[in-house]
Amino acid sequence: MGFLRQLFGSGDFRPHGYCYLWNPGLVWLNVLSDLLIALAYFAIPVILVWLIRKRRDLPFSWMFALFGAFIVACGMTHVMEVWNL
Amino acid sequence: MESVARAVLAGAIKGVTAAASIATAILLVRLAPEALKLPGLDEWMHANAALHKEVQERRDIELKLRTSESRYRENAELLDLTHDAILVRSMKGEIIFWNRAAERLYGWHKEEVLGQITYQLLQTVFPIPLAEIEAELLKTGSWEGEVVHIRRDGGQLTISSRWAVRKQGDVPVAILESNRDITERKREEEKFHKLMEATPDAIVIVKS
Repeated sequence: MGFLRQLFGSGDFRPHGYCYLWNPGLVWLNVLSDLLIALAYFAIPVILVWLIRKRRDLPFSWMFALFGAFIVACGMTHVMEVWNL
Repeated sequence: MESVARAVLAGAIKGVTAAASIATAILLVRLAPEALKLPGLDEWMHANAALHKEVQERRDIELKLRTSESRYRENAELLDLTHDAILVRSMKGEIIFWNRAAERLYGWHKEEVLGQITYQLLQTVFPIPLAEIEAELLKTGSWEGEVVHIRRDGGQLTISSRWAVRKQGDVPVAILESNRDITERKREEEKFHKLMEATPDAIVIVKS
């Protein structure tokens, strides 16, 4: 239990901002980039899913779906990075 | 590396990644409708089947053509076996076929005469005007008569000539001319005739 509390509590972890040396320019660059990346990564799967729905004859459509899921996950990590700042 | 530089480098990489991601998303949005417009697998299959059919048809036609071509060659070879000089000319008078016997009789090779005009090449002397002959030819489909031809070496030949029209449907397309050299026979006949005339005896030929 102690381990879990340690894991989810914020106590022992340094804020991510330390990595950016709390330089406002760097912080904003990272935040903005992460948000843009996340936006693109959430948009791309929407298009992919729309495509495989419209094009029923698309070969290996599962691969597009899988790639969509993968890129959503990637997008989530960038959102988390902003949250974790 | 210093930690400041590292942080700046990491930030720069992230910035580039963001730009690339946004660009990809925008391009993808633009591309998707284009991709939807592309012909589907069914259409490809259809097109492919049609193409396949056409290829098959062409192959059949080619085979037929080749067969007819070899048959044509065989026929031409047969025409080379005959002793009569056989020439085929277009309606314009250009020679399109010239058999072996014609080569022997007139002295010109096939390759030399193809495309030439027969009357000019052989300096043909017709028994009646050419226009009349052609009129009869078109009316009845054939003509025969005696003509005089000049050989390559300048020798004069008396020729028994038979013409026949080749038609495609109703349209005459070519004339086949079969020529037999009767120079010798003619000379003998004349000799005989002169002999008859020269003899002081009365000679009467009666039909048997």
